[in-house]
Amino acid sequence: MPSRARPLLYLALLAGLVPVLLPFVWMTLTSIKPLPEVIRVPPQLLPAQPTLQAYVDIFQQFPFGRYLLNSVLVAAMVVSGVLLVSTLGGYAFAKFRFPGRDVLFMVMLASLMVPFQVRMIPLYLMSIRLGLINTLPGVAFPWLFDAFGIFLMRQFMLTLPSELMEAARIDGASEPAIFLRIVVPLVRPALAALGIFTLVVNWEEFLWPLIVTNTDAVRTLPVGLQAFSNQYMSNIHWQMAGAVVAAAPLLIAFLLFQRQFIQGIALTGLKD
Amino acid sequence: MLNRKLILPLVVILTALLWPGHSVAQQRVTVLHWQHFHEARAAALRALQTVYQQQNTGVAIQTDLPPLAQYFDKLLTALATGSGPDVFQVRAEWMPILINGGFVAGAPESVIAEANIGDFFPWTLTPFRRGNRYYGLPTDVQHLVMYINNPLAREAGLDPARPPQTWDELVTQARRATKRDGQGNIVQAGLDTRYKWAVYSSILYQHVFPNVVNPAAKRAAWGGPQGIAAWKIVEQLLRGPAAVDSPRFLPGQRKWEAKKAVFYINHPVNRGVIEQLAPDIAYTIAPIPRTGRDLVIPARFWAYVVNSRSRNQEAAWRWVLFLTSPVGVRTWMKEAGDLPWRQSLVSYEPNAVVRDTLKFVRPVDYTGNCDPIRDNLFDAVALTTTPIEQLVAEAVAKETQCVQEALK
Amino acid sequence: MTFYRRQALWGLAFAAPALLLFGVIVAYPLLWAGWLSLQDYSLVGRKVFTGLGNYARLLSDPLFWKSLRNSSVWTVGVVPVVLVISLPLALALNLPLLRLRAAFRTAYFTPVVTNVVAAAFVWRWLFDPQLGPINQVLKLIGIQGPAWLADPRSALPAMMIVAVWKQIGQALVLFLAGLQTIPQEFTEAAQIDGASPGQTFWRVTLPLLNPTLLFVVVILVINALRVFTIPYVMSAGGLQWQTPGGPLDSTRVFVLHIYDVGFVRFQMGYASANAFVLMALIVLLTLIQMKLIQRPFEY
Repeated sequence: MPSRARPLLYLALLAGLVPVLLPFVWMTLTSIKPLPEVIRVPPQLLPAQPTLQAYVDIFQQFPFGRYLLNSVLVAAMVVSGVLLVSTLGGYAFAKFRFPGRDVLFMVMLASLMVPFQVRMIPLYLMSIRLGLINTLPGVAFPWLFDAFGIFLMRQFMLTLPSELMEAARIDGASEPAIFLRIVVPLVRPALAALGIFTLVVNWEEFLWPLIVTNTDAVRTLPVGLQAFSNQYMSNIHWQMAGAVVAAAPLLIAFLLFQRQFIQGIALTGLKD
Repeated sequence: MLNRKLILPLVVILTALLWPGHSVAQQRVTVLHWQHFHEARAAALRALQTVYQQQNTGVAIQTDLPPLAQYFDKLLTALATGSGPDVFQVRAEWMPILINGGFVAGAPESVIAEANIGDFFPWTLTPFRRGNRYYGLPTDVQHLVMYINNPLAREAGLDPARPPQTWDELVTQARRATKRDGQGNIVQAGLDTRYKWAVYSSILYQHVFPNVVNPAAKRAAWGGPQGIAAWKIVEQLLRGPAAVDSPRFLPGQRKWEAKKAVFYINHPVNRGVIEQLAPDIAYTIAPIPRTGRDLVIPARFWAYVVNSRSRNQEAAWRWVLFLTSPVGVRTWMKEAGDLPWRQSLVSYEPNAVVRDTLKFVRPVDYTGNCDPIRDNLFDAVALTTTPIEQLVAEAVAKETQCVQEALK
Repeated sequence: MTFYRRQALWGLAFAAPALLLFGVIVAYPLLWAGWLSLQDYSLVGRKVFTGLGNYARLLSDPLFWKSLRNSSVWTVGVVPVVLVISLPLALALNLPLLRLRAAFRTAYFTPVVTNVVAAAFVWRWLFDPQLGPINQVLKLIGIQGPAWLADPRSALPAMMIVAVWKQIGQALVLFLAGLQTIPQEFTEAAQIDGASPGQTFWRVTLPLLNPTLLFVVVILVINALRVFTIPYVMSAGGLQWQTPGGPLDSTRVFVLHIYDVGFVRFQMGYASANAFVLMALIVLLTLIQMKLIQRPFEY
């Protein structure tokens, strides 16, 4: 890349950040305004009387600390489950031939299309029968299978040269060993991407947790956020404070997951 | 390395699986109560719960307050699977559907005898009575009043102490109070029309008699000349260069609370909202305009009902009785700014206009979730130039279909 | 046992957890919904078997066609824009020479983690016809901005802009992952051979990115066809006086339609039929996309 293009690159990236970050900045500034200021017309970006009262309020209105913990636990369950199932399943659909493979794959993908609201009632019925109502596993269970995850891992595994696996088979390695020692390390970036994806989508899921939980002990973060709009008005300052509290852990997690994207993959194994 | 990586997630998962979530089984009767979340109502409910449990030690009330936006999703899912709470809250418009579908239990005679049914405003009981049984009791009762921003009204040459008496007067006064900029865009609305139901229902229920919706014939009955006359008033308010409000003016914002509108029709409970959002507005509460001699005001309210599948129907009904008893209503009024829907408590309402206009309420015809059709009609009046007769005809046809679906 | 038989069994073994969970979590509810779609079931009435009656009904339902049109417009508008923005962005944020890569990536990822209800409040202000910055900037360059969310013609585009804003970060993450699996040896070899950056991109990077590209396109299309939260929240959420899908059903995308029919009008059977039609459409589209985009490649 020619060096004179470099400042242009930074400029372009920074300019792009303006529309991308503006809503979040506005949100954060709104979270430190008192409510009458929030609805002012025309809106002022900067608060005239900044206050952290909204953050205090939301932790008093709801057990946000507990909600945060529950969100983390549910997310851990869902992400681990999805990564496990999707890696195994993606490998199967990418590198093995078995009867009905392609049809099954299409059916799995097709199932994504049906909106959750349509599946909600039978899932609720199942949860009642399995005793999962008002439990954390109950909150997590509909999300353990993710066709996206299988699709993603399959796509990544399709790019892996089959020679690697065949060579290992000839060397006498067992299938599980091939999977764990050769395949999984090679798809680390895909695992990271799927992990982030699943985490983010699951973090803001509010409908199912609302439906399946009856007490605060097992509620997750988005449930609290939804309650800030009541019958007559929205407590917008609380909404914003809650949104900031909800986004922060994810942004931190993303920063940490970054390392998976910065390391490249070198297929030196092939040359040996 | 792989093994170490698995330990942490395993620990987390195990913790999650063993996390206590089930409630401890009680020896006493437990009544599950669902209603939608509202900060002030949650406080009122807690107070009532404490008092009731002290007075009735054999009963435990367990409340769940989902947010309003998902409340019905949760309720419908539970009802569809045959589960659900013992006591729950629904809009009164749903009563015919729930009664027809057998989802709600009738009140035992003993409960009704204790309720002093005659103390309720009669119009609050219409949707709950089927034959001589009651299938619910009213709550969250709200009729309509008009709010006037005093300084803005005076600035427009109007006197808040002499509010518009008729719709024509409102149109005139609101037009005077509407300000536009150089390009003709509204910068101050004469009437904040964002609460569409309030505007069109006030006008409709004053024009269309005897029914706005005819449940016996299962059709919408406002397609005739009376209904068209009503919607022509809406046309006067919203169409043309003299419109008093526009959907393009501050869409989705609270115009009146932001001091960008002079008149506003809403429920009396909005006073609580004004106090939080705009405590510095000096305003007057006036009765809504009328068509003829007599004032007619529509009201909407909710119902506390008992699930027909509940195994504690008697206990559930007693709890509902308490919630709508004079003690209950007083608590709702004090904590949540509700109106007195028991006539004996009317004197506790501080505002004279709110108090005195409670007599003039005409009960709304109850049929199901068909309001979006009228909301869309209201939008169409504002956004299109299609003749009113055509818009009304289309909307009435759609609403008739909606009513038939609901009353199947 | 033959090699192929063993391979097939191992394949099924690896796929077993996925298939099991699929059966319980997805297939069974779908079968239930499918059965429901053949009935006239309003949550509060009796179930009456009507066979394909619901499917016939939706063909003559103007709201069905309107929702289909809205969802199509949404998909055709959102997916290409997200691709065109996120792919170059991913290439830029993958450059080793870029400082503060992690910070830039996190910043561009922020919309993905922003709560939709909170974001909707801000976007509503950004789109305000008179006071919002978007129309004011347009005024500066001499364009009279539309009424955005208040006008049936421009409400859907406004929400589509929000959807693009929200999804760039997701596509970015996927493309970054895809770029990471391209061994550097290949791009380096191309450059040693004298290829320009453009040629390297088109002849080496893009073909190797093909599986990722297919995945991103399919995901974006599926997400576009099943979008619910953004149109719901921006047309009505949090504001009890607005109609979801408004104004005048101009933002009534397919899932909003299904939700309205099923949970507001209580017509569960009919809603299920609508959902299956949506499903069939997406399957068709996905098959077409896979045929068009997926190409075999070799090392």
